[in-house]
Amino acid sequence: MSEVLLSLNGVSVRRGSSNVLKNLDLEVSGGQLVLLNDKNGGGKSTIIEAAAGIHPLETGEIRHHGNVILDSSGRSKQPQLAFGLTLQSDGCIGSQRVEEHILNALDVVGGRIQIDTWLERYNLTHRRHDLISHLSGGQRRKVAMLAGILPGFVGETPRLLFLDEPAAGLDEDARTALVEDLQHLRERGNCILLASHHSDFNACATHIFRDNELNVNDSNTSNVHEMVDIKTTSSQSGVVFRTGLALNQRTLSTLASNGIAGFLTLGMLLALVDSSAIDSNLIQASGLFLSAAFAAGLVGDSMVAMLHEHRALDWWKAHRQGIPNSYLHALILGAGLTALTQLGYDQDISWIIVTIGGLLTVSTMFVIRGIDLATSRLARPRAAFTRILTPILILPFALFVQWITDSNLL
Amino acid sequence: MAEEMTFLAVAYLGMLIAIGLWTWTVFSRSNDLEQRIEAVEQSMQTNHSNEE
Amino acid sequence: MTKRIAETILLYGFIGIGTTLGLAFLAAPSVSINAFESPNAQRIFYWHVPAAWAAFIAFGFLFVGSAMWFFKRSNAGWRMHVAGAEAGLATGLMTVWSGMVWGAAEWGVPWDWTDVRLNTFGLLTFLALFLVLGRQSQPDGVETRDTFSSFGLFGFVLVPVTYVATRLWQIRHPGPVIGGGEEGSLNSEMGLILLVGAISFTLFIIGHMLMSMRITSLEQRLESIQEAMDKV
Repeated sequence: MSEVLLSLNGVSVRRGSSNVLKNLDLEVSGGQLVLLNDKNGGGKSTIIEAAAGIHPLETGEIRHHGNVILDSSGRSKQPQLAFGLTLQSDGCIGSQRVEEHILNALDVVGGRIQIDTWLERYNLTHRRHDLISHLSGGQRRKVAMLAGILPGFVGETPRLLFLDEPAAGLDEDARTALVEDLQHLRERGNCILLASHHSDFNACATHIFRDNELNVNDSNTSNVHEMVDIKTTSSQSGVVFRTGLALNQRTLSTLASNGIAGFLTLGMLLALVDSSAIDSNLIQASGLFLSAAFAAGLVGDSMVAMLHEHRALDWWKAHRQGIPNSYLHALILGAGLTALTQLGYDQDISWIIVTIGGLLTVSTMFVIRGIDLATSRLARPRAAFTRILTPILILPFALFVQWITDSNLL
Repeated sequence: MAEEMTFLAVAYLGMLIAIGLWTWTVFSRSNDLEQRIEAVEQSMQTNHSNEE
Repeated sequence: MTKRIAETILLYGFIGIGTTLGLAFLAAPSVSINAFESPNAQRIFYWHVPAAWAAFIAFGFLFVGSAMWFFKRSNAGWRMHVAGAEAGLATGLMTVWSGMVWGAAEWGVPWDWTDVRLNTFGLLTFLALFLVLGRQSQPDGVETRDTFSSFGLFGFVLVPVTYVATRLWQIRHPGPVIGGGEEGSLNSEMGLILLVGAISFTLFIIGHMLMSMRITSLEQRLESIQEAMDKV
């Protein structure tokens, strides 16, 4: 008997106004593929997402490889061994390239494999460098599915794979290939939880979970395949930082959203405030020099909006390794805006104030991003008027300016 | 002095009207909901008696 | 029955507020002209302070309700959260608005960005605005309740900060009027009118919160009837 890799003990989850899961117990061992094929609204996606630790639990706990990763008191721990995850809504950012998302999924689990074979197998080789937003729905699904299954081929240790409707929108050839791949993954000892209505998966599922009951699947027709030797190479570190950097460079989103607010503020200041007025009043000067950087930070992190696409935020949150951010770009932007403001007022550049300006944009962005992320569980996070809370930062800004003045930094 | 008192009287009156309006909206919301519940319950009863 | 109680309390509160304002105008003693830039504007005080007091009650309600939902999943707690947020917004606006009228007359500026109590109070009002508008933008559900009640809990940290802020960081705002030691004491006539004001505002805001809790429970009842009808 293989080791139990996934256990849901007495798990209850509430979503919206209903109890979707109530005291659910489920244990899955290595080498098992459990197919969830309840009818619509039966809680399949909730089981997958709860198992990946995305939903807060009302009762119970989730264990991966015997260790608690989430319990009902809200304690959450990064799993010792990262898992593969395909969300029902893909979980990939539209501005990422196909290979980037797949390689990210591999870097998250700490090892890379050659992905060319799979890109070819699923007819994605010619799309390898395309942005995900340029793909059709079915192709995007293939990318999301590959990001969920390929971690299972990394290294020798069996992993957990959570696949929510991986075959939705896939053509027959792709579905056949997927069933074969799942068979391989199972034989490698991985533990797979798969939600789908497609009958194709009956061929490879060892168990079927329906109406809160786990039954052995008699129609499993799988044969033992020849084990394919897959070479694992080392992963690239800093996947979260790299993703944030790449997305910012590609979309220029920080410059376009935070930058424009900063430049507009700078323009208005230069138009309305006479440079002769600032010499006499230091508090006005330090406030003035930092205003553009502050305004740029108040816009928040544009990365959060990108992450709301196809529920990519949940994909990153589930892995508990951090969420891509724009802090580096904010630092450069804030420093640049502060330097420009000083030059605009015919002052010598004070590098201390320039550094403070950069850090001010980063810290302001950090708080606004925190508010945005705190509301990300809402059904309509973008309709929640989070910007009403931005005045929270005005008082600290005023006190900070006072402190700079008192410290004679200018 | 008289100007100040007028300013004050206007401010006070404005605030009184504001809380009066707020109270009125709360009452109308409550009445509106009661009527809606009544209407829904009636239509439920009608459905029931039609089925029988 | 609760509707009647709420309505009665509200009505008494409203009459009391009217009386307080009348007394403030006609009976309150004038202050020394030398002590104030704008002596008559201090009569705003009889509105400003009781409104701030009522706001603290409302925010207290909001905090207790948020905690009850967040830690105990209590439906009554959620109703308290909603009532507290709405009442907090209204009383917060009253306090801020009356403060601005007073500030404009006394300081010459309606708002001072460096005054900690003014700003933290303004922020609490913005928080209440966020809670009211944000909640209205979302379908009711556990995610909505969890998110907004966590913001409600955070907001309450600001209440004691607002109270002590004046002592720690006083720039323009006077120290606490009640419980502020000798300097904070008022003359007895002023104190009496203020007491009438505080009682009236307390009744008014409690009446409002009871009404608001009733409205939320009516909304929930309507929702459950509609859901039951969907299934037919």
